[in-house]
Amino acid sequence: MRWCTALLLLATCCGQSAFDDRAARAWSRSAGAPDGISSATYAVSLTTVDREQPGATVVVAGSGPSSLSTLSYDVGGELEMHGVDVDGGFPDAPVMAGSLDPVTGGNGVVAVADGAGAVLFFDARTGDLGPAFRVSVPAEACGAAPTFGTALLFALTDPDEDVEPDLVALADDQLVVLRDLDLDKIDQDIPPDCARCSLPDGAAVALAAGAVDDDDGEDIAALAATGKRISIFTAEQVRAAAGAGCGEPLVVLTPPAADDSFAPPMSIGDIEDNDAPEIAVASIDHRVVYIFHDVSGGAPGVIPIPAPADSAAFGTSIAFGDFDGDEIEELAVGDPLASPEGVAGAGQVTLYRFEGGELKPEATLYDSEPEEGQHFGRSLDVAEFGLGGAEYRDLLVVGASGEVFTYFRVTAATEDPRS
Amino acid sequence: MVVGAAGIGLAYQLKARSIRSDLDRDLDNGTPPLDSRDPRFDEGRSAALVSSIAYGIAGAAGAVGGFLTVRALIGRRSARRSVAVRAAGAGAALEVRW
Repeated sequence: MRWCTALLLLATCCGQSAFDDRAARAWSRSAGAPDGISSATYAVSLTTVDREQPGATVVVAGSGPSSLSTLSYDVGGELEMHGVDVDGGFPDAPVMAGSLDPVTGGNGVVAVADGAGAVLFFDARTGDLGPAFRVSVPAEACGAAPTFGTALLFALTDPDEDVEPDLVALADDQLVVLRDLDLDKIDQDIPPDCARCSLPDGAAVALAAGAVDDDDGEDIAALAATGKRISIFTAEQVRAAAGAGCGEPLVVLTPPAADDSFAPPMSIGDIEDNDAPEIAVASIDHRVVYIFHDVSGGAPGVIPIPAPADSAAFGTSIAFGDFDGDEIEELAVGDPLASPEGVAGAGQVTLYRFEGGELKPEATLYDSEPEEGQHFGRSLDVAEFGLGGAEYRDLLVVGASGEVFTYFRVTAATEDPRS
Repeated sequence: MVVGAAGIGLAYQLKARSIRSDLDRDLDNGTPPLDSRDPRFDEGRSAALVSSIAYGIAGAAGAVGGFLTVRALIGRRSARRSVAVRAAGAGAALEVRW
C-alpha cells in the first residue's frame, strides 16, 4: 500500500507546467536584447518612463551601433520587447532621462543626450511598437554650452500640483531648465521655454530632484565636478537668474571629511516618510555612501554606509524607491564589481531600510546564477508599475552587462504586484 | 525494457522533484531572489519531459508485453483444449490454433 501511495505521488508531480508556474512566480524577470537591434553591447544605459496605462516601461540603450529598446510589462507581468537601431548614434553610455509626456495622452517619453550638443526625444511606445524618434532640441535653442546634456532629468518644479514635467540639463557650469516641455510645440518650431543660470562651483556632473523647500515643487541638486559640493536650487532661481549666476543655494552639502569628495551619481528620496528628503551620494573612492538626512532642515545629519570589505565600486548606482509597498522608501545601492558567491565582478545591489537611526541592509540582490564580469548593478532605476487607476508600485530595475533585471518583489514578505 | 524505461522515468522524475523543491525553497526565501530565466527552470522542464517520455515508453512496452502475454496464455489454453486422444488409434493428435 505504501509503495502504491509513493508511486501515485511520483506520478502526480513534476510535469513541465509545474516549472512554467514557478517561472511566472519568480521574483525577477531578466531580459537580454530584443530582436531587431544590431548593438553588440546591450544595456549600456537604462531609464524608466511613467505611463498612464497599467504596467511599466523600461527604456534600454545599446551601443555598437546605438540602439534603443523598450521593455513593456503589462499588469500581469507579461513582457513585450522591441528595439530599433538609432541613426547617428549616441555616446557609448548615453545620458538618458524618462518621463510621462502628458501632451501625448499618457505615453512615456525619453530624452537622450547625443554627445554633440543636442538632446533627442523618443516616444517610448509600449508593446511591440518600440521607441520612435520624435524631435531634438539643440543647445543653441536654450543658448546653452555645446556640452548640453552632461546630465539630464525630468522634474515637476511648479509649487502646486504640477503635471507637466520640466527637462533639467547640465551644460558645463550652466543649469538649464526647459519648463513644461511640450514636444509638439518644438516639432512646430515653437522654441522651448528655456531658462539657465551659472552654477557657483563651476562645472557640474550630476543632477537630482526632490522637494526640499516648503512648497510641493521639486528642487534641483547639482554635484560640482570637483566633488566638493552639492548645491540645491529652486527652478524659480534658475528662471530669475536669466543666464547670470544661480544665486545663493537653498542648501549646500560638503563631504564630512575635508579631504574627501563625492562621486556621481546622487539621488534624492525620503526614507522616513517625514517630508524631509535625504540625499545619497558615494565618496570618490566608493568606500562609503553618505546619506544626508533631513536635508530641508538646514543642518542635515550624515549617515555613512560603509562598503563591504571586498567592494570596489559601492555606490556606482543609487536609487530610492518604495520597493516593499509600505509607503516608506528604501535605498538601493549598486556595486557592480562585487563578487557574490565568490564570482568575480558579478556585481550586486543592496537594499537598505532606515531603522533606529541607521540604515540596515534588508536584502542583497544579484543574479541567481552569477557570472564573472556580469557587472550587475552598474545602473539602477525605479519603474512605477501601474496597477490600474491611480495605484502604483515601485519596481527596481537593475542593469547588467547585456541584460536588464526587473524586480517585482525584493523580499519574501513583499507583495507581488502582478495580477 | 519496461523495467529499464520505468527506471529512467523514475530517475528523471526524482531529478525534476529535486529541482522543483530547490526552486520552491528559493521562491519562498531566496537570496538572491529567483529569476524567471534561471537555468533550473529549463533543467526541470527537460527532466520532466524525459521522465514523461520514459514513462510513456515503459507504459507502451508494458501494454504490448501484457497483450502478447495474454494472447500467448489464451493460445496455450486453446492448445490444451484441442488435445484429442482417440481410442481407436494407438497415438494422439495435437491441434494447436493460433
